[in-house]
Amino acid sequence: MATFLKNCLLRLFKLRYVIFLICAAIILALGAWGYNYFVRSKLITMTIELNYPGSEKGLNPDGSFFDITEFKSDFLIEKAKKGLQIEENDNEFLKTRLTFTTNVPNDVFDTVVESVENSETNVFLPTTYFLYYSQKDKFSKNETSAFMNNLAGAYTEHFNDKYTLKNDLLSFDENTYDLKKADYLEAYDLLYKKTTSMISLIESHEAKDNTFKSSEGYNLGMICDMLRQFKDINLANYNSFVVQNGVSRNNSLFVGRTERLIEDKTLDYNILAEEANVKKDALSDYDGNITANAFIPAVNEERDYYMARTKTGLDYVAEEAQSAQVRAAVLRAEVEELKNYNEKFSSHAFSAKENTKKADSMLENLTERLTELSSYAKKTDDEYLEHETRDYFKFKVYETSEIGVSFIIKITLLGILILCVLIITYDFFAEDRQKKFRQRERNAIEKAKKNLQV
Amino acid sequence: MKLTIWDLFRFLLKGKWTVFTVTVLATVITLVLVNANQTYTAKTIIQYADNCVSEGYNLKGEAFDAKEIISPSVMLRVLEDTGRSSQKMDQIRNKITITPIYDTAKVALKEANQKNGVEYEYFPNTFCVEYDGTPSFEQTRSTLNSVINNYFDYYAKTYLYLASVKEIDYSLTEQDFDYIEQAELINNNIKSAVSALSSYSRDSDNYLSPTNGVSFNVLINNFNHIENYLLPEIFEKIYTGPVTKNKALIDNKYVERREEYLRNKESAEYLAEKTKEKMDAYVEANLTVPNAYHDSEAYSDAELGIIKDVDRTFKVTTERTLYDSLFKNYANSLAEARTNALLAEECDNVLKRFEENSNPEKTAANAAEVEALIEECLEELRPIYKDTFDVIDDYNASLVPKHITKLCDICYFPKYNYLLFALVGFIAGFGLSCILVIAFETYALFKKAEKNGKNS
Repeated sequence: MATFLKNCLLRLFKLRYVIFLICAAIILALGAWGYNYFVRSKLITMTIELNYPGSEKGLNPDGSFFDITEFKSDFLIEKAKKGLQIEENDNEFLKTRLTFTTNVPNDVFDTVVESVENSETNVFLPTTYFLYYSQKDKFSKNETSAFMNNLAGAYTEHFNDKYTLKNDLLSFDENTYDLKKADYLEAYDLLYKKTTSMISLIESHEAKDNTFKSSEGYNLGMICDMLRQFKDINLANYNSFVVQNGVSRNNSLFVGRTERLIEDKTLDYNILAEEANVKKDALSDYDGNITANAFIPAVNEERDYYMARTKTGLDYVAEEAQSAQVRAAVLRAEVEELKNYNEKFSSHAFSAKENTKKADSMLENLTERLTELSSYAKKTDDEYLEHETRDYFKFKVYETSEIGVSFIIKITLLGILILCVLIITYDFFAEDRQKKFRQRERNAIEKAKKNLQV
Repeated sequence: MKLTIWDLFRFLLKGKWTVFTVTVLATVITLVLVNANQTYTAKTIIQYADNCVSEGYNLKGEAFDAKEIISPSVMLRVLEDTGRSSQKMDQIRNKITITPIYDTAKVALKEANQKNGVEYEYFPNTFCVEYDGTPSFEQTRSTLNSVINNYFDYYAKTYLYLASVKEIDYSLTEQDFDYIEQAELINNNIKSAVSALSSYSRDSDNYLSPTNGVSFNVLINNFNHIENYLLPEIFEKIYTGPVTKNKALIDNKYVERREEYLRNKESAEYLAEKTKEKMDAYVEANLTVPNAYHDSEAYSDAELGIIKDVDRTFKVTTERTLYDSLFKNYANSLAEARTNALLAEECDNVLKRFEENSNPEKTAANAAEVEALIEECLEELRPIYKDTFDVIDDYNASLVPKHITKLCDICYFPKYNYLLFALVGFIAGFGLSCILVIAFETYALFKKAEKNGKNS
């Protein structure tokens, strides 16, 4: 074997072959460089990995369908090409240069079909996608990487805007509501509802991760408690002051408005209370004899088992009566509360100046405090959302170097190797041919000699 | 002349370059031909989550038809999406096949039941959608993707109970409506929005829109704020004025409305009375029907027998009985009569408010304030409705995957396998070239032998 290899190598060390191989190596290297520079480096691949809950079911974080083709949306392409030379290119044209693939094993489709046939549930929706972009103009500046990175950035922004959780609800400042124009009790109502919705949002985030702590050391539970304290103490104190002293910017308007509300809600209450009463009374009209005469197992003419659910009418009407009663009770409580306000506010034709001054000052303090709490809450929750969504996406752009030394070396070596094999083969046959030719020559000479001798 | 097997090898060795060239050419030509005729097929699997589909019905209670996937309304949008508006939709429709995937256990159960003469219905709820596409795998994939996406949209719009609210007409004040009519329109609009949002909130308590981070409860609070502060102020100003553009018309309107409520009340009372009569008659009639408590032997109709052992093969009737329906209608009619009576009383109250003596100065001042307040109310409603529609759009998008879903991503396959055809081309090229070389060399040898024979 060693001899064979040695023999093969020796064949290559002929001057003409060495010169040929050097020339071939130069041509191959130049070709490989050209191919790499003009073609390979202008084709780029990006992998997109989805890592949020629900991505395995093909959903976005908000529960809607994930659609990879959104990457080809006009507004994303518009953003991605901004500031690049390809900005002049038509979006439709650029879309044709973008290609998606997924790494779906060949047999996965059959596996899913089989599982359906076997009453099982097997879902295969990929969480990794490959996006390819090939720059059309091979001789212009290479912008593939910049375009791909811009596209990834634009998509992330779009995805976060459209599909991930938001906490705008936590924002509050003095301009959120026009509290100077709103009556004192109306201001209380606005702040109370705002705080309640802020608490509810943070509680929902805390339920998902109660161990989260912000860089400033706040956790979501702490923020919730601070807001609860604000609601239960600060706001409650303000409310009791305003209600007990009947403080309003315009007492007669407040009373008139409340009376209107009382009338409106009383009408709704009466309707519901009457419905509850009428339906409750109607229950006694249900004839008990029917249960022993119609609601029994039997067979009808088609020999179908005939069994009605018994007393659904009774259940339904009782349920309706109860539902109306519950809604009426809520309205009754609201009406009572409004009547209480009216009683308190109608006892003063005008609110005392010191009271309105105090209410204004309290309201200002409340606004300041809620603004402060809102900034803590927003900051902490922003960090929580950032922490929660940090791994939702992973983009990896596989760039090809314009020089591509390793590619040039690989192609040149491969080419040289193939040429060496061809040269050795050629040389082997050439030697064989020469031997045969010499043999034939010798034979001919010998034959001629023999003929001469004869 | 005699040929040995070694001669054949010798011929092949001699014609090695011919064999090599022909084989390479044949392989390349095969690949070029395959590539020229190559097309891709894309397919995916979709599954309906609604139980009614397994019973053969869609959500509207009509016969379920999976062919709706290629309905014209879907295909039109596919053509638009894929930039092929100039093409005829049948060019794509004809290439789409929808194949049901059957659950073998349920098929076996159906067959077994049918053998026993028992009716058992089974309809597949999973379908394979296949598109015999174009030479471009990207186009094939995106076309099927567009078909599926547009069908999901179509399914949602046609069959799902999607959330919606009715937006207020912001040009209300430009029309010839009286102040109280404008206020009532706003009030009714807000009440209807709150009612709709409350029902969505009950279904998805913790839903938060990803667009603006707003929940249904926050929207309800926003509407309630207008309902509890601005609107009562408007009504208060209208009633204390009293403010109207045409008092006589308002009087007529509320008198007519009161009379209508009273007529509705009487009609509901009449209906309740008659329903009660039917209920009593129904009970009376059922006293003589054979049942578990009355021995059937005493009755001539033996078919209406009593089931001693309840067999599951019998069809179970779960619908409400007629008596229960009558009872429910009876109770609702009674409640409706009372509601109409109360609303008629309210009309009286409104009429009384407008009867009160007015102070022209106060009325004029109130009218100006009412106009301003209504404008303010409409302006405040504008951003609330914007938020509402954002939340509703997000909510609706999240509803669809609960009813219909893809089980598998779109897979695409080439019609011709390159490797297989390259192999076929290679083998055919190699085989043919070998035969050719051997035939040529043998012929040449025979010719040579013939020539030698002649010479000798």
